[in-house]
Formats: sequence, structure tokens, C-alpha cells
Amino acid sequence: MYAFAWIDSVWENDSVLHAYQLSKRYRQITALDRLDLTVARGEIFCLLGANGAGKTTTINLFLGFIKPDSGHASIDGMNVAQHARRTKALLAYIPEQVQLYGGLTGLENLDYFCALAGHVEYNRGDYLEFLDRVGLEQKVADRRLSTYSKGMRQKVGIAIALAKRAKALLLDEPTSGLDPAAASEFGELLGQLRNDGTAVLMATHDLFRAAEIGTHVGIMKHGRLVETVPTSGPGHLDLEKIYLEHMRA
Amino acid sequence: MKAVLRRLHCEFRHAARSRAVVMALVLVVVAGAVAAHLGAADVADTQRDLAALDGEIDAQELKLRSVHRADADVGLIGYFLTFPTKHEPSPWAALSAGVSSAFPYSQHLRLLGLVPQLDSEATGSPGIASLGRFDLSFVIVFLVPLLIIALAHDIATRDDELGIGSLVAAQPLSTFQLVVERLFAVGILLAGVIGLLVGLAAAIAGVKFDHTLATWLGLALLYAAFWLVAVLAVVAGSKTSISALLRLIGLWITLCIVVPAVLNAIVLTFFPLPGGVLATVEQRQFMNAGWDKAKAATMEPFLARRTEYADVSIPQERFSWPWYYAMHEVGDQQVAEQIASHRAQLERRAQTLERLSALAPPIALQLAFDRLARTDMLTYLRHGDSIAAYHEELKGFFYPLIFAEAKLHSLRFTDIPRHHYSPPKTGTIPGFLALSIVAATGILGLGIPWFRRRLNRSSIHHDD
Repeated sequence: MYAFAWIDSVWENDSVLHAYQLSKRYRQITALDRLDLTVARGEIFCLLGANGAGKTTTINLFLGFIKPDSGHASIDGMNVAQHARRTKALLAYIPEQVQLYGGLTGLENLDYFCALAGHVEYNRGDYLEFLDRVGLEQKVADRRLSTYSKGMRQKVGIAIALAKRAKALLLDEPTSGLDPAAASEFGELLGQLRNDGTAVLMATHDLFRAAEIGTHVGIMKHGRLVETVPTSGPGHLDLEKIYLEHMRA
Repeated sequence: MKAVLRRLHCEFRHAARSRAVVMALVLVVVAGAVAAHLGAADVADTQRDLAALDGEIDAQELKLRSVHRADADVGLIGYFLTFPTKHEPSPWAALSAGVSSAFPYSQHLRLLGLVPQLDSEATGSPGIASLGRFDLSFVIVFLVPLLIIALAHDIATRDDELGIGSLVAAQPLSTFQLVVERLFAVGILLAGVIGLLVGLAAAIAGVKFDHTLATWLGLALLYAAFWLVAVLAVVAGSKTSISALLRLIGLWITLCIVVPAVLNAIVLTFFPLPGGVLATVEQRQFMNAGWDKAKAATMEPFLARRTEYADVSIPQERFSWPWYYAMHEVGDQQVAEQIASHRAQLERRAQTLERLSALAPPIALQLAFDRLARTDMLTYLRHGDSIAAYHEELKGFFYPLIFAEAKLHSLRFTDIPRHHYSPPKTGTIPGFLALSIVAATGILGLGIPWFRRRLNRSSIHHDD
């Protein structure tokens, strides 16, 4: 019901992440079944679903970590399977557990990942600015990462995305294990990125967080996107009801 | 290019933060410095000992003239005299001792039979024995590969094991490129360590900074390159750091221990060498049998070789010095063919070992270092030749006096020939020793496209 209206609307915007009839099977198990999905600039699309619903598979297909059996995923119009390296330059990724190099400081980790991404234009001041934007002060930035909490490491992950000037941000259960304050702060950072025009695709179990920070919520079940709901429409309770209905069906 | 340099910088920073890495680097440098110091002390001791030999014949003259009457036979004096031989070590011997421990730099030669003095030691295969002596070449041949293994065994898998794999894989860089860059960073570190090692050792040993040093450095770097490519080959086929580490240690054991042992067995099997001991025993038995034979049985073969003494009359019924020395020489002659074949076999073993070293870069490098330091087997065989020639020279000096029954008062000690063997300060290396390392590196290098596919496939990266 909501889905078609939403798809029509994003076609008119400039879509960044696009999946067309995207399918992936692992032997006899269908992990993803003809997924059609579009995330435009400035949108946060949250994938909700039980374990094994296909959320992480979708993220991995956009990352180019795995190849689809049929259909395609594209970023900024480029087919991921055919141009994995080029599409990776356009995206940032934050896994569930951001484990950076514990022996390096936050700033040095940022420097390293920028170097991996080919961004060599930054100096220390720039890095401090990126880290400051995500709420990490200089004295924290110069501390070894092994002393960071999970929330602080997530912030470094966001700083990497900022420095990379990524058009798309892919997140896989980023708020899992964060305390409510840290999760809320994380949501605010994502909001900043959205305002900057980044397209965000986030896999999550957290229905309430999804409703709070997402612009759209996609409900996945058995590898299929069964419904897409713009969060401006229903409230938290309606969304929960829709979700549970699908899960019980 | 800027991005590559930046990433290399990050890798160095990463290495500098690792205590294990810093410790390993320091340990190898300290081991190299200690090895060079020990080697230099060894060479200095040898040079001091050799210098002390200079006045030895003069000292013997004083003693012999005080003990013996002036009319004592020169034959008797010759029996007591010893003639020091000197093999001047190259300063480079401090850095690669080679087979020097199996062959003394000096010995006290006597005018008696040469075979028991020169060939009594049954040498198996000293070329192989040269592996394992704690000197700079040991540090480079054995410890540097271990350092490479310690630094690089996890270059392909450490991100996954730290839980960073997916974050790194999400960057626009293939695993192969990342691994090669990391390997390059290790290579730069190693080049620095090897340069420091060789420079430090050269300064400690007091060798000149010349083309030999450059050759040393070049060979060591080439060898390091071989191990780096070997590491690439192994990590490309390993899913975890521990499996890569175990495989690399296995490769190290194979190349540094097993293959040399196998080559040794091959050389021993295909180039059998009864050893100089048997020839020595035969020489002694033949010579001692002379005591019970008629004098003519000794003198005839002797005079057949030394016709210039044919007119000398040898007493048949009593001991005489000309007969005594002839008996020793005839003993040597009796086993001359055996000794010639023994030495030829030793030379064949050394040459065969050099050729077989193509199968094991550690041996090739060790032999090349020994060649440069003039501590290789062939140098010692030439040293043996020079001692044999010196023995002949001594006989050329003493025999006329002995056969003329000259007396001590007429012996001019200052005219006695002196021995001094000084091989060129540094030797040349046969091209195939260096080529074998190049070939081994090249053969492994042929697998690079496969390593690339394997690395990019085994991880979650995909190339464009």
C-alpha cells in the first residue's frame, strides 16, 4: 500500500542505492528473493526483520562482498557486481561491531581508513574536525582506540563516512549493544548525514529506533521485502502492529 | 601514488606501535652486531696468532743451536724443526666464517711425510657444515627469514582476526593490492634492517665500503625478496594467520634444515670419500715397513723421482737421515694417487653442492657469502695446495743439505722458505649462486596472478 507510492516518489528524486530484482541463494536456502529497493539522497531506509530475513545479505550485496544470483544492486547508477571497487569509493559501511585498530588512536584510525579509501587530502586539523563533528574531542581523538567504548568506536566509523564523503552509508545493526543515550546520539549523527544528502541503508532489529531515525522502514521476511512504510505516516505503535502482522502471517 | 605512500606510512606507524615488531627488529640487529663482533674478534685473534708466528723459526734457531752441537746433522735439525704455515684471513671472514673452523688458518708443518699432516682429517662435507655458524651470514640466512615470517605472516588475515575485515573490505582497494603494499612496507623495513646490519657489521669488522659490501647487500636484499614472495605465496593460500605461520615455519625448516641435510646426503652418496685417514694409515704403514726392509727398497722409488741424488751413497747397515726422509717421501708417493683423488673428490663435492644450491636459496646465499669472505671450500682446497707446494719447497731447500750431510753450523735459518697464503681479499661469486636465488624468486613470482586471484577470491573483496 505505502510501498508503491514511495517507489514512485523516489524515482523522481536522485536515487543512490538501487536494487532491482536482487536475489541470492545459499544452496537450497533463498536468502534474498527479487528485492526491489531504492534509497534516495537524504533518506534513511531501515530494514526491519527477524534473523535470516535477508537484511545483512542485502547490505553485503550492496557492499559487493557477495555476488547476486540474479538481479543487480547499483550505487549511483553503477552496478556493484561489475564495479565493486568504484562503488566502494562511494559508500561507507559501519558493521555491528566497529573494531578498529586498538593500537592506533582514533585520529590515526581515521587517517588509515582515509588512506585505504584513497583520500589523502586531509591533515590533522581536518581529521580533528571530522571527529569533533561526531562528538569526539581532541584529547579523545589522540587516545588509543583500545580505550574507546563501543559508542565511541561507532562515532569513529561515522567520522570515516564523513571523511570519505560517502554518497551512501550502509549500517548493519549499528545500535545493537549501545546504551540508550549512545543510541540516541548515534541517531542524531545519522540525521546530520541525512541532512548532508547521504543515502542511508540500515539493517536493524530495533523497531522503535528505526521509526525514530528512519525516513522509511522496509519489513523483510524470508528474503522478501514485504512492505515499505514511510515513517512520516504511522506512529510507533502502528508500525509495530504492521510489523507483527507480517511476522505472524 | 600519494595514497600508496600514505598507506605505507600508516603501516610503518602500525609496526612502530607493536612491541613485538620493535622487539623482533631490535633483536635481529643486536644479533647481527654481536655476531659481527664475535667474528671480528675471531679474525683479530687469528691475525694476532699469525703475527706471532713470524719469529718462530728464529726462536727455534736459538733453541736448536743451544741444544745441539754445531756439527749436528741438518737431517737431525730438520726432524725437530717445525715450519708455520699462514693463511691470512680476509676481513670478510668475520662476517661469514664458512668452513674456516674445519681448516686451521695455521699449522706447524714438518719436513716429514705430508699426507699425515695435511690429509689426516676425514672431512665429510664442510660446505654444508658451514651452515649454522653464528656470524652475520647466519643472521641473514636464518634469522632474517624468521623476522620476515614474524612481520608478514598475518598481512592477509589480520584484519579479519581483529574483526576489522569487513570495514577494510568495504574500502575501494583489493585485498591483493593491500597485501602487496603491506609486503612492500615489510620489505622497506627489512631493507633498512639489512642495510643497518651489513653497515654495522662492516664497521665492526673494519671492512671497506666497496663493491663487495654492495654485493653483500645486494645478495641479502635479493634473498629477502625471495622470502617476501614466498610469504605472498603462502598467505595467499592460508585462511588464518596461524595456518600461514605454521606453513611458513614449515617452509623455513624445509629450506634451511631439511633440504641442506638432503643435499648433504646426496653429495655423500654420489661422491663417496673414504677420507684422508685411510690414506694416512696406509702411508704410515708403508713408511714404517721401510724400517724392516733393505734400504734399497726405499731408495729406488725415491731416486726414480729425484735423480739428482742418484750418486749419493746411502749406508745399508745403519740409520741415515737421507734414507729417513726418503722413507717419508716414498710413503707419500705410495698414496699419492689416493690423495689426488681424495682432493679431487672434495672439489667435486664443493662444486656439486654449489650447483645443487639452486634448490635451496639459503645454501646458495651461504655459499655466496663464503665465497666473498674467502672461507669457502674451494679456497681451503687451494690453501691445501699451497701447503703442499710449500712442503715441496722446504724439501727443495733441505734435501741438498741433508744429502750432502751438512751440519748445523752451515744451516742459514734466514734462508728457510716461509709460507704465507693470502687469497684475494674478497672472492667472486659464481653467477649461478646469485642466479639460483633470482630463479627461485622468479619461479615463485610466476604464481603472482594465482596469488592475486586467490587473495581476492578468498576474502570478501571483489575486483572491478
